[in-house]
Amino acid sequence: MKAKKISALLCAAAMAAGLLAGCGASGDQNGAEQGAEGSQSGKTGGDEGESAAVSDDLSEHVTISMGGINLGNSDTLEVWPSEIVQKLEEKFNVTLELRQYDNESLNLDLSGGTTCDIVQVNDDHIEGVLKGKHAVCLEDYKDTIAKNIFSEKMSFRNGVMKAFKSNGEDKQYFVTPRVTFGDTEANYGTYLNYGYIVRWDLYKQIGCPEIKNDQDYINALKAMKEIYPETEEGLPVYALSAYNDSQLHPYFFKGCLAEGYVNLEGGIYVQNVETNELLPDIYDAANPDVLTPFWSGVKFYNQLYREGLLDPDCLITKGEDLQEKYTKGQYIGGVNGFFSGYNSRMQKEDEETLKQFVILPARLGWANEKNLAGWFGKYFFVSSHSPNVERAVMVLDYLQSEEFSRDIDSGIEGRWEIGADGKPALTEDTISMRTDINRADEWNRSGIREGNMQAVCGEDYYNIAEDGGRINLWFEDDMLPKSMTFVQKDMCETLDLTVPSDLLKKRVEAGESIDLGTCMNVIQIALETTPKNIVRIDSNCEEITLNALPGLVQAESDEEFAAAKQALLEELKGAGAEESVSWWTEAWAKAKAEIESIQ
Amino acid sequence: MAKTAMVVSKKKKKYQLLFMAIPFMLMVFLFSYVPIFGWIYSVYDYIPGVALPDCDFMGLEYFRLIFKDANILRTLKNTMIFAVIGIFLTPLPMVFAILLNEVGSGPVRKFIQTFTTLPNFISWVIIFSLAFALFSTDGILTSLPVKLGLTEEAQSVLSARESVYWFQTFLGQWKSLGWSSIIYLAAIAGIDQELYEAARVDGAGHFRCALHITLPSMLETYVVLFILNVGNFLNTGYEQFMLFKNSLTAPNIEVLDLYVYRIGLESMDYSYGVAISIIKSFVSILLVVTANLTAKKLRGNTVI
Repeated sequence: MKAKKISALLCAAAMAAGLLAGCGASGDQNGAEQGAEGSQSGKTGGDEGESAAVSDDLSEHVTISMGGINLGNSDTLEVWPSEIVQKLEEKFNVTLELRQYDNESLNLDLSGGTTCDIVQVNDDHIEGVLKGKHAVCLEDYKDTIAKNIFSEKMSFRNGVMKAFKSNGEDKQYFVTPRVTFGDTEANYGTYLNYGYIVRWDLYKQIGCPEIKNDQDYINALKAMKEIYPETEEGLPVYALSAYNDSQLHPYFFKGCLAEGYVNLEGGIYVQNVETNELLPDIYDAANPDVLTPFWSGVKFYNQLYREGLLDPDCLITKGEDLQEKYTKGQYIGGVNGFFSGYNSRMQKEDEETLKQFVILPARLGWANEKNLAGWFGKYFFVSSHSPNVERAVMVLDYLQSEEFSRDIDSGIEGRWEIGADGKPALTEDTISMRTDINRADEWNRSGIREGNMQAVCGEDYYNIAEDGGRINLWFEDDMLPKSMTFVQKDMCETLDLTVPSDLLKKRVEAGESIDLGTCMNVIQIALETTPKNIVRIDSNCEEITLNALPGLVQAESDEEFAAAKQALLEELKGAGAEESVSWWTEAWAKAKAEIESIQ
Repeated sequence: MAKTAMVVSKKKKKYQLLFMAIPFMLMVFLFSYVPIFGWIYSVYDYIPGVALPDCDFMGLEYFRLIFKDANILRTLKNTMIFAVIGIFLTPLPMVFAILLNEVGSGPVRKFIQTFTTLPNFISWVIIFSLAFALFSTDGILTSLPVKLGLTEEAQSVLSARESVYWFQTFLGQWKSLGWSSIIYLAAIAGIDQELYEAARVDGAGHFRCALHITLPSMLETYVVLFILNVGNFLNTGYEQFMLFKNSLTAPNIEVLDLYVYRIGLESMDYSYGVAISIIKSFVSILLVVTANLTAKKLRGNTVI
């Protein structure tokens, strides 16, 4: 009995101790680690204000972590470190780790001051980073270890960062990836990434009818479904469906391509690619004569519905469901790239299969982007809490360099060589590695065009490097036809093209399509932070619109559609849409004027 | 002398019990009381990454906003409907436990118990995938009536706005029925078997035994659980509803917890989310106290 009592008391004591230790461990451990690492580098996180002597000493091996929303996690990536990352690690005597953040984990790390050494944030976090003093001022390293960031070529981007992303301090804390230089001229690449998606074998069977607009596309999808009403396994076939876990994206994005707009976050507002004017996308009461992307997209889905082509689960399918249905062969068209799994599967089964999705040009060709201040919504900074600030700055600076940009797009030197004409070109082995499906592992290990690091490097694909070649050698004019797959070759043969993207080129030349060449997306970077009351209104409007989708998409007649639209507009008005429109219009005009003045 | 020793021993025993309760008190303090500090965020315009004193002080602005927000009423209505249906179904695990207890064959009883308890350990994500495979338009169960020629067109329950309350409750019950019945099975095991024997001698059958012995013996447990359930009236959780939410079901499926998640975490409007949560906590406390007082009036004893 006594033994039982003692053991009960011991258990209770152990549980209490465990509980306390468990709750306290995390903070202590972090503190200990930070202290240790801080002492290694001789600089702790809180002293960013001190003008410490900049050291480029690389003798000590350290770990540099880089985290961001939409970045992958190096622990779970199939290949890490790749050949390209290994080169970086050797160059700076570091181990590079990637960490994936979502909004919650990033906010948590920002609040606790425990972010990665290099962090990528979007516009929503800029204010918190600056007010919370989480970012190192990069200008302190301008003449020493951040020369790539502050190179002359990056001066416009740097000016934009100082003017619009510094909380009025006129200092540079952030850098953006993929900066296009003013004199860069782009081609359309080998194939298109966005447009009218069709399954090539079926499209070919119906005689490759020209698709100039949504109606042509619907007609083509109808004809394709007639010859392929169900899969080989007997499953029903549909034209396409929506990915409802991305809010309104499947609707307004479809419309952006059809009408020539790019969207602002959330798709409540859109930017005209040609005039750079801002338009309310959904609440179009002030611009009833313009068919905005959202309404264009919704009409498209409604027409598909009325034709019996739309997946009946269109309003409930999520991205994963879409991928699964594509893989089963249940779709013959599409709005976004969920078909890649199907393409890979069919290609693996038969390298010369025509059962592949290809993309035909819409009104807007998503090409020739001029990211003069880099990609918007991706801002990298070095954390002031990093125990290795200087090494992190060095790594970030290298990521911004021409050398790394070339590496990630074209491979490390050796994967490409300087030819007899003095210009760089990809080797035959590299080309074969990409096109030969049996060498996929080797291709992955090389790290060329690896998704995560591709969105990190400093320079645009089309920029001309010092050696006279493009950053991305795959985009050299003579290289474009060499990297085509079997189906792309068949497409070119059938439609009498050199490369599939020539379809867009011809349409642009004929004035039937436009590209992104005139779009000043830098205005989006210059926009001031949206006040919370406007964010609340926009979020509410988005939700109201989502709830109204069934009435719009499943309207049986034009009258029913018009009534559903009217009801939605009235509901949006009641939710404060006009206040939102007024704020956005003013903020856009201000940002546009400021950008034009510094250009 | 002996009396003094007894008092000391009693005191010692009390301290021992108190000492054993310390870990649990600590746990409650750490996980239930310390987070109340977070309520302070509701009076600031909190920006993640900025120290609280550096954020703008908003006073009761976010609480005022609650009364202007039309979504609060809608989500509160949905929460209430789910909660009321849930409250009406609270006897279900008890009834299930009684029925299970009446199954004569031991292996069959164990099989049923295991079979009904297992869904409790399946995550909502997997349940959603299963539901999609079964109940989407091409799903096995939805397309069955069409294949059998019973209907012309398949109608997916996942996209039926009017069925949201019942379908989601059905899924919730399917998931938790076996697990919730365990406590009642334990209560049944604790009933004095002599009562059953005496009743059988008096000619009572299975039904009479269940009605006059099992059911009254479990009523105490039921009342305790009922009051606890009332306390959780507004805590419907959000995972299930978030997964099954789509544009067709959204107006009916968005409950208060999901709305707080959307406002707080998706729109990063933490302060407003906290303000809504505070109001929710007060309403929950009020409900528990009311339920407790009602129980006292009806049964003469209370739980808290």
